Amino acid sequence: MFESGAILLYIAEKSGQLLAADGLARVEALKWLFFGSSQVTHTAMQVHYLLGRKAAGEPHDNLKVYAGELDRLYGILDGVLASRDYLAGAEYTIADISAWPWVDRHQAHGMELAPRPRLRDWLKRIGDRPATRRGTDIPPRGD
Amino acid sequence: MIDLYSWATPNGRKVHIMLAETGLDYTPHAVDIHAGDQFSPEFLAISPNNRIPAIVDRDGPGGKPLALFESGAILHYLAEKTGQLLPREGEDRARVMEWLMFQMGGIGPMFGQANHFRIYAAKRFPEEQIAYGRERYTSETSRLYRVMDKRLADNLYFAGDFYSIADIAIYPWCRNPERRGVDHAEHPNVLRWFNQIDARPAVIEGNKILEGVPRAQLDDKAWDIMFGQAQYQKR
Ligand SMILES: N[C@@H](CCC(=O)N[C@@H](CS)C(=O)NCC(=O)O)C(=O)O
Repeated sequence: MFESGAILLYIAEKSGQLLAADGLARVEALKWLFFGSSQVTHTAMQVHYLLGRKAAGEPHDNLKVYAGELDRLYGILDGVLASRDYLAGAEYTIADISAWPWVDRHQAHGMELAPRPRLRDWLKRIGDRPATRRGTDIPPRGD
Repeated sequence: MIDLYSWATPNGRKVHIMLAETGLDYTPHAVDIHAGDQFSPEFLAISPNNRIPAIVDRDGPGGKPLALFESGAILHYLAEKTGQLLPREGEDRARVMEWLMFQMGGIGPMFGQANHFRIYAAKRFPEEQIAYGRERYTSETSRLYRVMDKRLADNLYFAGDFYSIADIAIYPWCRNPERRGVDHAEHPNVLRWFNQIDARPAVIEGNKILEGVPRAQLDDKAWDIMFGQAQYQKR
């Protein structure tokens, strides 16, 4: 299998974890999984890629445009976290897993978290999970 | 009863087709994204990312109304609601989700950027400012087309030998390929698949509803709404 979002969903359904079996909680998780896997991932990847070109002294037109769009998406995430601890509600789900690694790179991407306190708290809440630590340490970070 | 908020764009088209395929009763509502309808408080309450498509299912989970955005999530929700176009388990289900996500994370954004640089930005900015973006996203588009053509060389549909929400998600992005510098003649398997989907009664019906919606002519005001200050103003 390929496509990270599809793999997350597959593992959630296989294990019966991190995704409610039915009801509103399930729909919310899928909604934010798609948002994380398409909007956030794509935009952060463009910023990431263009920053790499900038560092290599290559043309990186439109970096500002994509960074502005990424900042707008951070605002959407911060907004939904106003009323809940996790993207889909009270429970941690695969939707959080799809967006977290990109927000974790906010510094490298030149994004400000100070005006987004709820996103900052969410980043830490998830970052503190032992499984997040294990998952981000293996393989060792080379990027 | 379902309310569908959409406009004549590839992502909007997916949901019209899905609703026609599943035979669910719905009311379409036009959200003119070039006039800024997507920023109305009523629409933002349904779709906080100010993007179409979005739906409200008055008979959602627990019999309560459900508001939903992100076209992939909408297709998935309607498939689970009706038990159609997404197998319940096993490899077939995994394959549908794989190619649906491939559309959401790859085809949609990359083809969309190709449209942006080749059509919209090309009319506004000098060549040297758009050349890089146009080349990058046009190359990405042809790379993705090669992946698609290979997949369809061995499979009737994206997920295998059955039609699914993955095909519904990809099909609208394969209309008017010349806008993205693509010639379907070079991708015979995609062409064969496209013609097959394009002829489905539900697809014809879904497309028909969107006929007559004007194709984007971006004047200054519309540009500002889609890609300028109005888009990025803090809300
Ligand atoms: N990932 C989203 C993308 C939706 C999207 O990009 N919608 C466009 C039209 S196809 C839109 O509403 N644009 C309005 C805007 O940019 O303000 C989905 O698949 O639903």
